[in-house]
Amino acid sequence: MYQPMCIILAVLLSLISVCAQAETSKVIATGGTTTIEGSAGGGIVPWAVINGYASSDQWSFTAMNTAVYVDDFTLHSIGASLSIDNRFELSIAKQTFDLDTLGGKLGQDIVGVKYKLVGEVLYTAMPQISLGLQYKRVDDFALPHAVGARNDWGVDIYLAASKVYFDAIVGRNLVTNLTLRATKANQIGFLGFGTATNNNYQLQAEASIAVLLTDNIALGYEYKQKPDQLGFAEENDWQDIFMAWFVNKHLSVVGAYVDLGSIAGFGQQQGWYLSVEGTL
Amino acid sequence: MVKIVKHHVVVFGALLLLSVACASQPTTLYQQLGGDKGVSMITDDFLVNLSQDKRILHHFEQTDIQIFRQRLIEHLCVVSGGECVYQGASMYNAHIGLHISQADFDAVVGHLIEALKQQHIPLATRNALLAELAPLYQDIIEH
Repeated sequence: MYQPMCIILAVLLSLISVCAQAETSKVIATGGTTTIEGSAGGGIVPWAVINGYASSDQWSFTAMNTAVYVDDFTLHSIGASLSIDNRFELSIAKQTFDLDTLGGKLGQDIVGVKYKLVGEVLYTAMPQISLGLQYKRVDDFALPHAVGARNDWGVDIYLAASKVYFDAIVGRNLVTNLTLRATKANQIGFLGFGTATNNNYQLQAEASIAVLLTDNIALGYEYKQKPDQLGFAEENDWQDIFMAWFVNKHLSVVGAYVDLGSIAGFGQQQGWYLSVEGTL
Repeated sequence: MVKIVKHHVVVFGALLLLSVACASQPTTLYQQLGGDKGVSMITDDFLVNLSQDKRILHHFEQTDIQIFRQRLIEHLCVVSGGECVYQGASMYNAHIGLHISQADFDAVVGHLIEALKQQHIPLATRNALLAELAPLYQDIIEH
């Protein structure tokens, strides 16, 4: 597990040193933060915004490190993204899911692409709408297979709409987002894709809402609907309350309280989410 | 006794309501920006910020800055509900052939926000002004 992480980190660092003079123009906070899946968004819901601060004819690079600590599990995600032209986003994420109580661990790699179809999150009456794909592959299929998963890889397809409303609540700006996702993933992919009896895509809705308390501090809520296909244990929707601090255009920190529901028979998995992100 | 106390409470409540009503007398966005003087100072800071940005400076090579400044003040005044007359061309016509990119627009928005901060305009007032200006994007960009 550490070897690929080290390789990713090394690639990130070398990219950062090579490309340290990225020139970007977007207004602070408009790139959002990076989800645990590597795509720009909130913490668990991908948004239509393109990661980082690259506007037209510019590029931007982000790297993030996120940990989620709930009662019986710990999720780590490390990722990076390249954004071009405020239009296209390519992302990678490596996730590990430690089974603290059961022992052992699960993991998956995610490669994501996102393409902005229409709208500008700040400037147009129409929301910014983006189409995204996430290719996911689990590290070790033994456990997912044993609990009834069909495949060790899958592709999520999502359509996200995001819009900022200026001066919406006591003079504060409001960020809204709605995402529709087609997925076969069990527990976002940690428990594989599809089941022995059902290999259909499930259509799920996800939403985020956040108030920008200041220019660079956002307080928000997210809800992520999830399928519940595996018979061995119940799977619940996820939600969180988050506070994001965009320290400047190069550094942001997100803290959240998350409720991941029941996971693999362990009920009421709640706890803390902490994410640090660097942007060029 | 209870009646008297009640009466006092009612009078006190009415006074409180009155004082709140007076304190929050509706003002126009233009007044919140500081009126003539405030908008002029915001505009000057904005122009200084623009002049220091090499990314967008080339768009102003042919611009008469004095006239541009005057039109900008008038435009901010009209947009914020002040009693001014904007004597310039429409936003659409004023930007024809200038090929303003989204990056240019984003940079200019950044400089305006910075100028508003330099003049200590409160967040709510800044956001209210941005709400009025953001839709201009459609008229200014790429044509």
